[in-house]
Amino acid sequence: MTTKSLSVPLPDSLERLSRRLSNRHITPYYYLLPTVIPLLLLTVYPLLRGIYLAFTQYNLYNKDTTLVGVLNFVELTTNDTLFWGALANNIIWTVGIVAISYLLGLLTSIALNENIPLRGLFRGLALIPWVCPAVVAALAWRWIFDPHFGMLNYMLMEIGLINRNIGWLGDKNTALLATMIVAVWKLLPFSVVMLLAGLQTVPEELYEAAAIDGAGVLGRFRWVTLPLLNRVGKIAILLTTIWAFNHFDSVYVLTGGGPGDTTMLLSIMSYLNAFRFFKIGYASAVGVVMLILLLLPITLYTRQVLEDVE
Amino acid sequence: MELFIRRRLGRYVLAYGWLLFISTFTAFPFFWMLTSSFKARAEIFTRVPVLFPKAPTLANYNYVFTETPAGRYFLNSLYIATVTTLLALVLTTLGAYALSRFQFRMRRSLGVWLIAGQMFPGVLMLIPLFVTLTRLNLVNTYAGLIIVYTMAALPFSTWMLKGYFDTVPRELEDSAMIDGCSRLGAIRRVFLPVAAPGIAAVALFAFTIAWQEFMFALTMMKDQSKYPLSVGINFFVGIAGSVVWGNIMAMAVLIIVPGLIFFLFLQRYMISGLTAGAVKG
Repeated sequence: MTTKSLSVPLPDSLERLSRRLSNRHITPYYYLLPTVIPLLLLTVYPLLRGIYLAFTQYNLYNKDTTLVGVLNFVELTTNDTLFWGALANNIIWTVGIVAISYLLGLLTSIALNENIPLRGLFRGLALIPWVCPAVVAALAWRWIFDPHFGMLNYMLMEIGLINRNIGWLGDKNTALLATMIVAVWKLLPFSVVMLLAGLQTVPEELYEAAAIDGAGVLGRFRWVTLPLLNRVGKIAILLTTIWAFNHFDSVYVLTGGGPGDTTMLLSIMSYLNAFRFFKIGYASAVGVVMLILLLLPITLYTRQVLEDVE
Repeated sequence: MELFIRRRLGRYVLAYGWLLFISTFTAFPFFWMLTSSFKARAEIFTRVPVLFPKAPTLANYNYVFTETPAGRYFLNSLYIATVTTLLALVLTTLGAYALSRFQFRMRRSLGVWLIAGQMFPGVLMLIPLFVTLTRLNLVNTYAGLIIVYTMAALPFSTWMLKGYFDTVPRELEDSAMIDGCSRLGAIRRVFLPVAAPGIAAVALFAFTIAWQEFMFALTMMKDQSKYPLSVGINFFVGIAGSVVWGNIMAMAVLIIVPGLIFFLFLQRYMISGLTAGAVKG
């Protein structure tokens, strides 16, 4: 009896639904839900909400949101004495860090690619800054930069490069450079690892072939190494650009944007507006400007990575 | 032959010279933090910096553990980073599996989002998250910070894990399924053990994010007793000033040691995590 009643066909639509739910085409979505739902809630929503906030005036305490259109952006670009300076700093900072860390990373990875004794030790030493949180790096360097008791001034005096102590972080002329050194220090492991991995995919035969064709050390570097590093190098540059452009931690701890706003970066400007002056909408507008400027590198990077996969 | 040897020698000298220079740059701050944490006050404020303490002392560590909440900060960081790591692993494994094994609509869009997802300006994400978490009464709680860190780790972890899963042959689960396992059973019994190195890399990545993060913690944690180490040390410097470098360096060593231990033993996984998605094979 029971079997019979069960075999009564389901209404058409229900059956189709049940078939669709157990269909192998729908299975992937069950697996994806635990990843996608948090992703939507925690990254998509905040991003959209952040962009929305940039067009509002938002009060953190009575939670009043007033739409004000592009007012924040107009204010930012025409009335804020900090904005253009911070933007310029951000660009100098980013370009400088990317260039220096790429160059140092390239030289280091080439040296590490040689088959020399103690290579593992040197590789470890080159990568070690990665385990140091930016805050700690900033504190350690702050002492190294100290005008009276710092290692840097002592060393430069000893070798005769300077004849009086420099207050690296307190001097308007050197503060931005000093913060850049700390950022390069923190980023170097990344460049080294990426470029070294790239170098190791270069087949030895190519060098031999180039040597037979009469290429010297520089020629081999120019015509074999560099072209083959092109892809990894591009990715390393894009990622370091994005990282440097967004960076906050070490500069906030080292200088907080000073002295005299010479190390004011967009991320610090946005942070101070949001959490010191409680101008949430205005701070979001700074964030949106950063996002717009980053769209190009983010797009290029994403495209490059997807291209490699497919 | 002689020319060959001389050339080779030249290359060695160049390589060693450069590596010595660059490792001095990268390692010196570590050396400095470590040795300074054992220095007595007299050896800290000297015009000629003292490289090795003549009379090493544990006074700084003693002070940090008894007079400051450094131990508490350490446990806070440990708790937050551990829970973040576990959450990230649970949330990413199935999704990465689906991305690696199944064809479905929106696969490409999801990929784009995973790659681009953590490139957005941190401050731009911080503000709305702070507003939302305030509404949910999650500001100043461990849970709030864990949610944020899981968010930060999620996109890249999923992408990284997918890349690793791609290298595990499909036949593995197929044969287990022919032998009567369900797909989930096959994943658990056969697939995951093989994919363990990729999972280890993701765990390290998530742990490192949570252990090192500063900006969100600075904004969200109000009670000193809830500070993680990164905010704790900055707070300590703020109240004590730079006159107590020895104590600060002892605290810094406390923050770095877990990372250093991971680095010594699991360097391979850290590197594979760093280069995931960027270097093929």
